[in-house]
Amino acid sequence: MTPPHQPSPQQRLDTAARAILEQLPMLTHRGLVVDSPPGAGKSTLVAQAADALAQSSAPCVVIAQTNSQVDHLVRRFARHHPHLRIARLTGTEHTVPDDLQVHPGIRIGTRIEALEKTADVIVGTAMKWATVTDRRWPWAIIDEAYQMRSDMLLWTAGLFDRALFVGDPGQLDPFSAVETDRFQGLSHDPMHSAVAVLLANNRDLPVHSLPVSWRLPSSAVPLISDAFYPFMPFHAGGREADRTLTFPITGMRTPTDEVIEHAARTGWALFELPARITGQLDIEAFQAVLGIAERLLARRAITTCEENPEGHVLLPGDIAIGTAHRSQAHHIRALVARQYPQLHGVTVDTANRLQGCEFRVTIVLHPLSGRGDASAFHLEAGRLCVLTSRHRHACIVVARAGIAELLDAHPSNDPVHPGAASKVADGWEANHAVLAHLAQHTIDARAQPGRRRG
Amino acid sequence: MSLLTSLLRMRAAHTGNAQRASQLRHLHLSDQPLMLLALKQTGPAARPLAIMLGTDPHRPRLLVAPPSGSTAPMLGTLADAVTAYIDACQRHSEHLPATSSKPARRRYTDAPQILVPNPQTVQHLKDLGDDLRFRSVDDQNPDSRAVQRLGHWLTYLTDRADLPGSAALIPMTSFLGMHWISGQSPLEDEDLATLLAWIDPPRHAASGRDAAHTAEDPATYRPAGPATDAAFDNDHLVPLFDAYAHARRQAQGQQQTRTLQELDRLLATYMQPTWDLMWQAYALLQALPEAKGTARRWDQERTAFTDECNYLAQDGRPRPARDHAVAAAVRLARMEHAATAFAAERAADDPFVRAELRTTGEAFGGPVTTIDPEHTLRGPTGRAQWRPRLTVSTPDPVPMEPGQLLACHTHPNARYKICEVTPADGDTLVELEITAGMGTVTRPNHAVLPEAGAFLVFTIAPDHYRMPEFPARDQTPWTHGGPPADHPADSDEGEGEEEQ
Repeated sequence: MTPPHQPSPQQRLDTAARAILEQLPMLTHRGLVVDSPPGAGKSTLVAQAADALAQSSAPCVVIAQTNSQVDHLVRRFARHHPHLRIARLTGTEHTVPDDLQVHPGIRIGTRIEALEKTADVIVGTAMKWATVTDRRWPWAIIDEAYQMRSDMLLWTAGLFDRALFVGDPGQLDPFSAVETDRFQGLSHDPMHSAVAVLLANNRDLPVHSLPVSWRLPSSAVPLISDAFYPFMPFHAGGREADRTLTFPITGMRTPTDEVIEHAARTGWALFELPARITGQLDIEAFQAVLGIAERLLARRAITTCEENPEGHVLLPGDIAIGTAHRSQAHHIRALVARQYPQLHGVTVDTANRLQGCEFRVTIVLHPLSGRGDASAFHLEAGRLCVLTSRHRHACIVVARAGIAELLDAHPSNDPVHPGAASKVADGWEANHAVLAHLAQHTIDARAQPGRRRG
Repeated sequence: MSLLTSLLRMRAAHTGNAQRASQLRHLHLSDQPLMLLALKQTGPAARPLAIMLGTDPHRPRLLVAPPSGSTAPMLGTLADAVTAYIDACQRHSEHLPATSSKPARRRYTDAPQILVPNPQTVQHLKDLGDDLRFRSVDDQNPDSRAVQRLGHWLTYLTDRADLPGSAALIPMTSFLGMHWISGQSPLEDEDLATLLAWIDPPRHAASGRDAAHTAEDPATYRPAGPATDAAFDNDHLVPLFDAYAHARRQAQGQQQTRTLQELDRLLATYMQPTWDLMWQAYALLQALPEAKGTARRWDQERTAFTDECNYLAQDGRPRPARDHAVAAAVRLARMEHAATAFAAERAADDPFVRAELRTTGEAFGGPVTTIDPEHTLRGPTGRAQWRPRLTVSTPDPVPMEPGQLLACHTHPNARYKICEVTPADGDTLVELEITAGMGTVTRPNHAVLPEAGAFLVFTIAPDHYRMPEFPARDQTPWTHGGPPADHPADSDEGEGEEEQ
């Protein structure tokens, strides 16, 4: 029977998640892949699936990619599934956060022998799981499987009979510092993501996708979905009226004030500095980024959303500044330490490190800003996708003028290799799509007060 | 290109002379390398035209393939020459005592080293190896086994050339580029004649740049191969090829032989200048003092060579055309490990490399200001751990976070952990804790503690590396398509189909 009305986002997600959870125990295939757009409740699904699979006698193995992802998952298990006995398999060099160390429901150990007998769920990084030998469990859940290199899957695939792979296909692809052209075209290219290799070798595996992003505001979903997830459209979870960003304090009508007001109204803004080739360290752009963050806090921005309908005053911890290069993030952090004490607590990091994080407002230094060329690194769709899909309310991009011309002068001409293809959109095209959208939200940094271009 | 190499390149362009990028040689140079120049025929994918090789600078050996017809005799001679060189490396072996992970074994005291002019020649040899190692062996024809074996060795050597720090097959232009920086573009650096002119101009030349200009003169310039010059093809090769084809059609044996002799003479004069340049480059590089890590890498080269000889003796099947899942992952792990190890050893050995890392934010240097040699902390088990601390004041930017492990050139085995980074006026104070290499409280190694005021450079320590345990080939998991078909040689098709 078809429901007479359009299903709500919550219903849609429930249907999708329930379909996955119901299919899991009686799966006839050896694996199941769940593609998830940014902020679609991936971790919730992982926790629920682990709960469902741990019912039987053997523990469920959960494999994540980084220690912070593992700690995050463990915390979620402990909070939302308190009846589960949780074990954290850790390396000796990582210090597990204090709140997890003192938690009575969590056992922490560096050796599998100490944990396997008494746990329902065992969580660890892929690197740590690769050291476990001579064991096999019926089920494993692999989180952030698109960040996992397929050779890492090769080390760990002997640990389980069946597996649930969960991940975001739009994020950064794995990389290596060595020349890897010789592997191109192999269906088991060790440089491809675990999911790409899995699906290339097992073409009949069922692939599900989560249809709703709870994080992104409705202003951001059409752009992110079209530009970065062309094969997997999704919807916004929050209603437009629920997400607001307002300023109780009147601005000074400077371009910086104008850019945050525009972003508050529309969810997007591009702060355009005059064209100039600057290289990685563009002090003027760094100051612009920090100036925007400063004004957001100085004007005591108030956000409302489904979780905080009564309003929340924006704090430094709600803001992230995203860059392409580590040297840029380092420089901005140094500037914060020296010149912007009021910004202490703002997250400043590269796209790689921001993967999986969520903030209320993000300020992004465009990867192509101030460059004289567009290399594959700077064109990578995943990089721009991570940077422009971390926010719940607004994303403000800071860039030098002339990026569209730069893109046109550097069409992507990487050789195309037959064989296993990545699900990521073409970087050049995605960059143009984002830029075309931002063109309607451009504020000229040099504009006279009260006048706006575009 | 890092800031420092860009600066050196500009300085070289400005002064007209190549600049030193390192005082030390980071690759082993054999006393008797096999110099090898290759030319291929324009057109066919990997049909050789001529190969000049030898270990004696004054007596190069030239092998010429006939313009048409079978290349088998020429390849047979080439196979004999290369195999004789490789066999000579197996003459002596040393005994290695058993270690905790490996049983006692023997290792050859030498390994082959082939020097070629440029990376394109490496690619040509790789193509040739791919072609030859799958050729069927015909018992009637003893050459065919030698040719197949040549294909095997070429594949081994070109695979080694993919590993950073390996010295089995080295393209000379890349080797020179590690130690000198010329004033021309990196693309132009792939040409041996001009690169060498920049680095080591003839005595009468005013500067390296002038010498490079002279070297480019089309009247005298000879490309180092494997592709030949189009003008040379048209003006010199085509008439001889035509004459040869004509004589062949008419079955004029004498005429054919005469044409071949003429071709020999032509190609000998064509390749001789590059041959001399190769030995000039060899002499230049041999004059450089060897870095410390070079010997260890050459030991590894000999181990790999010994393993390959054992494989040939025991199994001997050709390497598959494409790596299967486990082999590809193992190869990638080896390549990544070799790259980090090579980079770390170069940084430990060579002040030039450390200077470059300081410009890219991967290292910092400065004097030690304070030392706390008694510092201890309580370990997780409650036992006291000795962790001496020191503070370094550096003018370099330090884009590293607390917890980062560092290495220092004075004690390669010691490890230092960043505790705190404090920007002071102008300089940055970095507080470090020694976490490895200082021994224990009961048996301390005081040598690792620096003196106050000592100038130290700290580089990012390579990750502790342990080769992960990969599944065996026949245990390839279902995620990667299951075990590949039985014989590696015919694993081309059907791979990845098992599970379906």
